[in-house]
Formats: sequence, C-alpha cells, structure tokens
Amino acid sequence: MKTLLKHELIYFYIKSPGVIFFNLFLLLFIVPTSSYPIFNLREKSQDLALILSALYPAFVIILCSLNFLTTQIYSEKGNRNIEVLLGIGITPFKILRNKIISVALVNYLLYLIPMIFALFIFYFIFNIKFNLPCDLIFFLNIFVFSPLVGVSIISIIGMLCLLSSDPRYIYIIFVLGSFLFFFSFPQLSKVIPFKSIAQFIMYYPFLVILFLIFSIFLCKMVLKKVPPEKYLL
Amino acid sequence: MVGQNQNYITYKKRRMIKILVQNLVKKFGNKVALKGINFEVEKGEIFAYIGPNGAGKTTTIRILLQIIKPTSGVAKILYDNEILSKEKIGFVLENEVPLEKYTPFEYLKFYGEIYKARDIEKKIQILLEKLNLKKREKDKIATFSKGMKRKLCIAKALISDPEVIILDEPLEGIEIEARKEIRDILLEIKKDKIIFLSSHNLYEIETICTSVGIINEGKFIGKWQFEEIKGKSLEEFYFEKIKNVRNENTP
Repeated sequence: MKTLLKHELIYFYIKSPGVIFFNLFLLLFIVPTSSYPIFNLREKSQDLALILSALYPAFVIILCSLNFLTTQIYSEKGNRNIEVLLGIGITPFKILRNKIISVALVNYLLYLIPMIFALFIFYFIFNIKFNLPCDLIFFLNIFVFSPLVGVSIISIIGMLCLLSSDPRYIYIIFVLGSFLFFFSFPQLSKVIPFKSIAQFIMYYPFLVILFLIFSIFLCKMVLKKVPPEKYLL
Repeated sequence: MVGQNQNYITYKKRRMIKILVQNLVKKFGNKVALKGINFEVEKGEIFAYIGPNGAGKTTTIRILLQIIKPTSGVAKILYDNEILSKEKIGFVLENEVPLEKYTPFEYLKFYGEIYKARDIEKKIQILLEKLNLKKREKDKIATFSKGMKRKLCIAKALISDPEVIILDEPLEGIEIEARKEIRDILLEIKKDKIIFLSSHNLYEIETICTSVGIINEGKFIGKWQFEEIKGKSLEEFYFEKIKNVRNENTP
C-alpha cells in the first residue's frame, strides 16, 4: 500500500513542516543533555550504561510519537477519513500499519539526527572516547534495537488510540508508568544487581524481534476481532 | 437477427446492477437499529432513502458499504449476481470532511490512486470543471466553504467512474448554488447507474429522484416510484405514511 504510506508522510509531515522543525529543535537540545549521563557512565558502570542504552532511545521515540499518533489516528477518526478508507475496502490493520510506519519513520529520524549531533558534541567537546568493538552492543542498542522496541510500543499505543474514545488516558498511563519506572530504577539494583540485567542484554536483540512480531500479531488479531462500530461510531 | 438480439439480451442481463437488502437486522447492544429491512434498487434509479433522525438510514448505508457487519440478513450491491467490486462504488458519508491540507487536485489524486482509477488527471480536470472548482484548483481545501468541501467529497465519489453512488446527506447545510451544481451533476451521471441518496431535503429529492423509500424507527415502511405518488407533494406523502405507521403502533 505505497499510496497510503506516501499520503501519510506527505499529508501529516511534509504539509506541516513546522511541527517537524519544532520537534527537531527541541530534541537537538533534549537528546544531547539527557543522553550525556548514559555515555559518561560507560567508563564507571558499563552494566548500567548498557541497560540504559536499551531503554532510553525507545522512551524518547515513544514520547515524540504521542502527539503524532493523536493527529494521525484520533483526529482522523473524528474527520471520518478512517471510515472512508474502510468503505473503499482497506482493512483497519492496513490503515493502522501505514500510520504506524509513517510515525515510526519520522520519529526515528527525529531521534537519529539529534543523537548523531550529540555524539559529535561528546567526542569533540567532552572528549568522550568510543571504543567501537567493545561498545558495539551499546551502539546497536542506541541505534537499532531500542528504537525497534519503541516502534513495537508505538504500534500497541496506536492500536489503543484507534480503539479508544479518548487517547489522553493512554498517554497519561504511559508517561506516568515510564517516569515511575525510571525513578524506581536505582531501587531495582537492590533487588536485581545491574550485572545480572546486563547479562540478560545479550538476549536483547532476539527479545526485541520477538516483541516486534508479537506487537504486529496483537494489532492484527485485536483489529480483526473488534468490529469497527465499537470504535468508529 | 434473432441471434444478435439474444446476444444483446444476454449482454444486458450480464450488466445487471442492483442493491439488494433482505431481512436486514442490526443491533447495537440491546438497541435494535434495523428491524428486518427489505428493498431493492435497480440500475437507472435515483433512490431517495428518507426518514427521521435515528431511523436507521446511516446504519443501512454503513452496512451497504461493508464498514459494519449486519447482525443478520443481507445487504449487497450486486453486479451480474456477484458482489460489485468496491472500486465501483462511490460514496460520501454524512459529515465527511475532505483532507484539508491538500489542494483539490491532490485530494482527488490520492483517492483516485486508492480507487485504482484510470486517467486520474483527466478525470480530475473534468470533475473540477463541472463542479465549478477549477479556479480554486491550487488553493488549500481548508480555505473552502462548506459547500465547496461537499462538492469535493462528491467529486471523490465520482473519481473511479462508479456504477453505484451512495450519498449520505450530501446537500446538508450547503448554499443554494452548490446545491444546484450537485443536483445537476447527479442528473447528468444517472444513466446506467444507481444513485442511493439519503436526505432530509424533500424538495431536492422531488427534483432529482425517481423512487423513494421510507424508514422509521428501524422499520422499512415501503418503496414507491415517483409516478405512484403524483398528485401529492412528497412532504404530504411522507407524513401520511409516517402517521399511518405511528397509528398502527399505538395500542
């Protein structure tokens, strides 16, 4: 469905460049400042840095996506554009899939550019050294695996956004849950040592792929089972 | 000669298009929105589907478009006794809003591609010309009046050159000029098509429709050709039928 994906990208992003530039401008400030401790930690506690590299990018990408999910899914429901597509014969899953791919693509780029910018600052200004063979898992997490977790969670949030009558509740639960997790994170080390969690990170790529498959399967099954009248009318 | 005629008849039969609604029931939880509706609409008809608010008009349309499923019964659009492909059904939903960040050309091109229509750009030019929107071709739809937006939704419904056109309240709340333009275009394209129109505007219906069906509280009261109701205005006829049903239902 190239036409639908092209439409999502043109209509919601290229036609509204202001939103993109505003988000990019914010992230160019937020990403370097908030990721600096993670990069700095690599020398003091490699285990903790590894764990955070698996969580932080997903969190940033999801937070950025929430606003776009509202516009692309919830508002479109109100304008009846989703119902029009259903009437033409496009399935709810295909509609959601194209929306999620466009949100994920744009927000990955919005995360990637400030992250590369941050790496330059860390290397040239703060003299943080990168040891690529040793840091390979760390960088794979930062650029590939953790963003993929973000995409999986975005698809589940997107599906809930399509089904719900007010997506703000989903966002509030997500944001509160995330902050609660990050604030209670230091306590977690008393229960499970960071070293044990870091060893678990070795299996992270497989778990990420499994989670991505699970989220796609979940969206497909739920949208197949729930009749459109439950969320459209 | 006989053979040729037979071929012609066979050809005509093969191109038979109709809307078939049989024992259609739709329940939303405990509420019964449609209570066993039956009617048929055939090629060449401009069928008006009228009734009070909440009678079940939009629900019937949503089932016909396969947006929602019926609880029981059948609502099909047939082409030679097979389900008509969705690309050949044009429609406008009640309160539909066109994609406002697009220009009319971009909007119609997008739906043309979704419908897999042929000669999209040529068709867009013809539709914009006919609906008097050519001058605003390059403007954003967001700057358009309600009537112009409605006309664009109708152009979207016509972009795939459909066999069946379903319009839910297409003339609701729009100015006189736009109404006339929509009416004219519907009269122009009606040949060999089915136009299914749900509306509260009885004057417009009398002007363009060939048959009318009345629905009240989920029950289909009946379908009449306009020749059958001559001598009365549609308004008189409508209230008479609604009143009869209400009297029957009163203990």
